[in-house]
Amino acid sequence: MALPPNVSAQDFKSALDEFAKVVGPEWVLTSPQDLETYRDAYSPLKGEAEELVASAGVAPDTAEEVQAIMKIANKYGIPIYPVSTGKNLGYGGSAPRYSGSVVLDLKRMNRILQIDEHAGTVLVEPGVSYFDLYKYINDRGLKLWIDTPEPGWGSLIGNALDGGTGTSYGPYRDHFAAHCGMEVVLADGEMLRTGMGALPTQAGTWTQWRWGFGPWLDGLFRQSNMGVVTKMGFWLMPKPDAYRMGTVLLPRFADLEGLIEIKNYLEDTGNTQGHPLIVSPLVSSVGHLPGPLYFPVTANIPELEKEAQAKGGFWACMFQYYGSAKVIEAQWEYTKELYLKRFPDAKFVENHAFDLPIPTEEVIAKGINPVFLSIPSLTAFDLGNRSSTYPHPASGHMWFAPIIPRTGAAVLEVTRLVVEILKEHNIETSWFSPPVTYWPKAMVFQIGVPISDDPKKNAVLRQAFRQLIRECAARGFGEERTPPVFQDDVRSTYSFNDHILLRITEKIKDVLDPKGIISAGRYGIWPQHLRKKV
Amino acid sequence: MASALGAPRLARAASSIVKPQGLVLQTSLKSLAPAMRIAARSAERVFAFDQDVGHLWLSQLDAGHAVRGQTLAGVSSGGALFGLEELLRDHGMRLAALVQLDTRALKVAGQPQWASAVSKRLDSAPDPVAAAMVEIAAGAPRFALPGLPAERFAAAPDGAAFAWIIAPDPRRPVFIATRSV
Repeated sequence: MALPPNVSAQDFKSALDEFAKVVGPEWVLTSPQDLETYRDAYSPLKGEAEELVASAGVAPDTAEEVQAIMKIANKYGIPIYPVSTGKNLGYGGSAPRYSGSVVLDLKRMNRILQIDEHAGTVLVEPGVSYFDLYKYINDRGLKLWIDTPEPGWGSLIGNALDGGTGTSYGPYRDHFAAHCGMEVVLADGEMLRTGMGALPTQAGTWTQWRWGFGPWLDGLFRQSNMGVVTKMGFWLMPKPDAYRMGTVLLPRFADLEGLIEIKNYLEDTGNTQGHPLIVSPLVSSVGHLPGPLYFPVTANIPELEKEAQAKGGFWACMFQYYGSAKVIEAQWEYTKELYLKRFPDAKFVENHAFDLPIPTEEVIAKGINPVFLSIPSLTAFDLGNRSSTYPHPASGHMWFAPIIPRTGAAVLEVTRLVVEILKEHNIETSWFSPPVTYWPKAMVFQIGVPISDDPKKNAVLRQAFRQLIRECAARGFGEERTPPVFQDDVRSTYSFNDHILLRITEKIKDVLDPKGIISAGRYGIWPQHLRKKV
Repeated sequence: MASALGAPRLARAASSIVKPQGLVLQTSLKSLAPAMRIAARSAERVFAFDQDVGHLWLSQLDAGHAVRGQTLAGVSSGGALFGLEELLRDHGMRLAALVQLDTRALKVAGQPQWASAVSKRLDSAPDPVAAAMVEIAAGAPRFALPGLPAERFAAAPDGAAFAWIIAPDPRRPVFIATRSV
């Protein structure tokens, strides 16, 4: 059995025995088959000695069991790596950042504790997935929608804490921003409740008023390692009456700036609530997602503009609307009006307009990505199949996701930079997304850098990835999330005033978790005894 | 020719596990439709889906834990299989047998003859669903694929599909036990 670093075999055995007394021996997982499930399916270190692996797993059923586990871990100095459902592929999966940690597997804690249809709120445990919540709501006929990422097998809590997003109604897409209140088990086993949860007597407002009586500590637990979140409240959207999708097509390469400017205005004024999809008709579609978009910076633009005439446009933005059929029809008309005012040769496609609800089979038959209509899906994985538009599939991918301003100039600048770096390393990727518009005031330039089965190729990929991180950050394009292998690299780019953000974070870490047992190294935050050594 | 490529290997794998109680079929794999029809004829339960295995999961497979503790056979794309493997793993189940099917080769080989051969074998097979899976595998050039699920994407050709069996693994705990809500 592999041991956690700096832990004796005797201490490890004692800790596992004590874990077993808390959770039951069947929930202390040490067999090779069990540990295999905690490998990162998309690890860029796959098969190498440095691959991040777990020494064991322990799966509690309650927050009280989590408290007991933390006390035991503290006693023996066992590094613990909590995962909710552990299916965050492309950002590390279940594999611990600090190799040899014990995975604290929270999948059994899958209770939907409280749901308020009228307030539109829910309180869940970490093992509750988007599939689970969707099913729960629909089985009971509640008039609520969830905002689900794709794929929908992940945990609401895990996704929110890692900075995840969905793809439906604007205010609910930022999953951490849509949370309200949390319960956290700290490293010493103490339990903290934030916001209105700090009141011993509950009147239902824990999931309704997030700020409580200050200070607001919830941010400490996003993309960090300060505690184990065991409950979290979320806001849910009321089911809308109707849905509409329409596409704006613009003919010239230079139109990208105007396309984005008007989209921003429409979003910022609440005229469109859905996830706008910036695409190009010049690029064939791969499943529900637009295909590669790096051609504009490498190809002959006048020739492409001629081709664009035949295909309807150079750029397109697909707008989505939710609400009353009359209102969203007017919103689409206003969208067209604004574009026509600036681009008299703009074209429009009326994609979909229908009343809700409709059966999932119809959504799929219409070719609409189910997640746009609050339905969790698993179609994303077929994007990995070999096809004419994806001739050399990878064994997985790691997301590179810098935040960029909402401008066409920024899109083109980061595109050029990324294409140059990938070319320099002879890396082919067709998962080169156009700017992603999940967030309200910024865009993400998200690409899936392919993983290989060949360690030599992966070494090159890692080198390229690190170069992407450095060179994008040097232009102000900092990564919003990254796989664990690169978290130190990204952390080092947020270096204003001699890394004061990290220095303050480390001070907090040292107070809350002096032995550094929780998720050592996660998001580049190392405990004192491992700092600078790694 | 297909049998010479190693069908007995899968047959051993199939016969060593519990008889499949459900058959998962991805109907969008049109070239496999004849084989699917034959397999479905003798299956206890058929779970069909077109594109999104997530919808099948929500509407049938996970409904009341319908497939908990059951052995499932299936034919699907690699992406759909990957999704099911991951989901069923938390229900204490594991991939037990796998073959890759080349759907384009099937078109060349001609489906009617193949379907007829499958039908004949099924008549005498004691375990129709498992036998159907063996025949599906034997009816087309294929090779077994080891390794992590994601690695199969890299190895599979354009248009590839997979015949597979996912079975309960007594060594694997059932994480998704009850919904105490």
